[in-house]
Amino acid sequence: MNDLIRVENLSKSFTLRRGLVGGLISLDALKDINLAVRPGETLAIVGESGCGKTTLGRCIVKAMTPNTGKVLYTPENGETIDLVGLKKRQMKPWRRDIRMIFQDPMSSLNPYMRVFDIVAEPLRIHKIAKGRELEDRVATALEKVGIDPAAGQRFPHAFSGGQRQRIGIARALVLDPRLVIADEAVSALDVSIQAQILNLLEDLKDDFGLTYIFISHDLGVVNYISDRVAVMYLGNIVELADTETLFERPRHPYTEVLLEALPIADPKRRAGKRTEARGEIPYIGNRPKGCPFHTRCRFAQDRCRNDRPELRKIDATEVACHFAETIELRGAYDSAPRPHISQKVSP
Amino acid sequence: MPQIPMAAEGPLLTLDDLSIVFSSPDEADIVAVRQVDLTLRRGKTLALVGESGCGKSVTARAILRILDKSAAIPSGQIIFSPDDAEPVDIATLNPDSIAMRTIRGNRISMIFQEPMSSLSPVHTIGDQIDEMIILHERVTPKQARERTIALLDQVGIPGPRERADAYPFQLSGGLRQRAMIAMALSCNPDLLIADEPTTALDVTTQAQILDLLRQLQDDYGMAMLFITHDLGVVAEIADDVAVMYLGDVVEQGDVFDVFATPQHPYTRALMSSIPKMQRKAERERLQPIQGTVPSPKDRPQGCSFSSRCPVAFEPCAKVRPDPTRTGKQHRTRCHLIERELKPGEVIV
Repeated sequence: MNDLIRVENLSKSFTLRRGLVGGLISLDALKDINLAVRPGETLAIVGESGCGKTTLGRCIVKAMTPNTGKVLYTPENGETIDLVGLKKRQMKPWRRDIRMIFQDPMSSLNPYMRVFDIVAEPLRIHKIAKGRELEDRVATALEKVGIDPAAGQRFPHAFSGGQRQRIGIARALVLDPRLVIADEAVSALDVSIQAQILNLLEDLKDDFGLTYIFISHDLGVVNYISDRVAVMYLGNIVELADTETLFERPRHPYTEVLLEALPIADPKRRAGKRTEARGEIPYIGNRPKGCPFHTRCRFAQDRCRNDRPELRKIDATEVACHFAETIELRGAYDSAPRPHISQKVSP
Repeated sequence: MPQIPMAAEGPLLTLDDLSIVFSSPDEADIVAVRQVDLTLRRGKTLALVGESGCGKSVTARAILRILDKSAAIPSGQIIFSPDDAEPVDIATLNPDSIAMRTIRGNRISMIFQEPMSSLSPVHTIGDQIDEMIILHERVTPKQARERTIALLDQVGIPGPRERADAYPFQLSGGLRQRAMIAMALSCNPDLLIADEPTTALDVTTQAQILDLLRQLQDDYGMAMLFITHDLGVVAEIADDVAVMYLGDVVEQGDVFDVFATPQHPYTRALMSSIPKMQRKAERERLQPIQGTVPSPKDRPQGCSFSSRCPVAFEPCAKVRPDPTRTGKQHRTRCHLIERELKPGEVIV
C-alpha cells in the first residue's frame, strides 16, 4: 500500500535580521526530514519547544513553503503529487483532504463568527454544499463531536475550552478529510476534558477512516494514542519507531532523556534525583556541529562532536546516533522505581 | 548552608475553615473557596491539585494576602507558626500592614507559572533580587549583590556574576524560572508557594526544576505549597496532597495513601483520565468525567461534584458531605464513605 504522505529531504529555514543594522541570519528550523505517513495510522511527532514539530506540520499542510524537499501526497486516485510545487489554486482540492486542528481553541476560532458559520465555512469555500444540504452537513459534523447543533447560532465565547476544541474538530471533519494534523490539540485542556477529546479523536478515526499526524510534547498521551512516533530535536528527526518499540527500547539518548523526564502519576515510581537532562536545548541559530544532541548527551564522544549522524535502520527502529548499537537505554514501561542513572558511561 | 532546626512543634501553616468570596456590584457573590482545611507540615511539600477554576491559586494567594480587591475572607483562619516567632492569623491582618509585609516575600514567598510576566522586564535580575534582600534585611547594596550571586549560583545558573546583569528576556524559560526561584529564596523563607512553576516549561526543563526544588528544600528546610494540575508532578514531589474541586478540598492525605487508595469519586475520575504508561495490549480506554466543571454560580447545593459524579445517590445533590477520616491523615468529603453498604452491594 502506498504511503499517504512522503516527506523527502525537507528543509525549512527562516531568515532573521540581526539587530537594526546587522546582517541577515538564517535559522534552520527543519533539516533534511524524511518521513512517511501510512494510511490509517496515527503518527506522533514529539519533541520540546523549538524542535520543529509545528513547522513540519505546517509544511505538510502547506501553511508554509519549505526551502527544499518534497511533500508527496497520494490522493484516492493513486497518483502521487508533490504538494511543495503547487500553486495556491492547484493546492485547493487537496486542502479538503488534509486538515488541521490547533492547540488553542480560543485563538483558532473567529470570535465574530457563529459556530454554525465556522463549521460551514470550509463547505462554502469549496462550494460543496449549500442551503439545506449545508445545514445538514454542519449539523452532522457538530453532532459527531458532541455539540448540540441547536447551539450553532451562538458565538465561540459561549463555549468552554473543551467544547471549543470540539468545534475546531468539527470544522476539520466537515470536509471528510483523509489526513488530520492535530497540533498539540489536547495540550491546553484540563485532564478530564483532555481524556474526552482523546476518546473523541479515537472514535472519529474509526468512524471516518482517518489518518492522524499527532504533534505533541506529552509522551503519556503519545503512548496512548499513536501507532508510530518520530522524536525531533533541533530540527532533526533523531528516532522513529513504532510506539511500543520506542517506549520499550529507546535507541537515541535524547529519547531516553524525554522518557525519564516524564512525570509518572505514581509516587511509588518516583525517580528521585535525575541528572540526565543536563543543560538546555541550544538556541536553534546556534546548532551544535556534529550530532545536534551531543552537548547534552551522556554518551558523547569526539565523533559526535564532528560528524552528524544520519537516520539509519537498526532492527525496527530508525535512529540518528553513532552509537545506537552499543548503548543500553532504559524504556518507560518498567514499573519498578526508576533508578538514578550513573554518571557518564562510555560506549 | 543554613540548616534550620525543626525546633517548633506542630504544623507550620494551618488553614482552618477558610472561605474566600468574590463580590461584584452587579452580580451575586461567588464563593470561590469554601471551608477549606489544610495543614502544611514543616519542611514538607503539600501539593494542591485540581483543574482550572477549582480555587487552588486563590487559596495560595489568600495565604499571602495578594487577592484582588473584590475578594474577601468572610470566615476561617490562616495560622502561620514560624520557628522563632509567635503564631499569627494571617486572615486577620491588613494586607498592606507592616506585619503582613514582613511575612510576604520574607517568611513566605511565592513563585509563579510564567516567569516572563512576573519578573520586571526593565530591571536586571540581579537588581530585582538585590531589591528583595535590601527590602527585608539591613545590608549594603554590595552585600546584597554578593548574596544574589551566591543564590544564582545555587539555583544552577551558569556564570552567575555575569548573569546577574542580564535582563529577563536574555534568559531562556528554564533560567528565568531559576532566577525567580533565587529571588523567592533570597530571604530564607519558611514557606515557598509554587503556583504551577513548571507548567510553562518543557519536560526536560521541568524535571530539572523539580530536582532543584527538592534539592533546595533539603538545603533550606523550608515547607512548600505546590500548586499544579498535573498528577504526575504531584507524584514526583509531594509528601501530602489535597485534591480540589470547585472550591472544595474533596480529598486530602499522604501522597502514597491517596494515590494507592483514592477515596473520592473525583480523585478516582481524575486518575482514570490520564493515560497510563502501558503497552498497547494492556491499554484501556480512558474514562473521562462526563460534562464540564460548572461555574461556582451553578454549584450544586449538596456535594459540589454531585452533578458529574458517576456514583451519586440520594443525599448527594441536597446535603453537603463533611470531611470524613478515611485513613491515617486521610480525609474525604463524600457521602459514600459514611454510608454503610447494603449486603451484596458493590460500589464501582
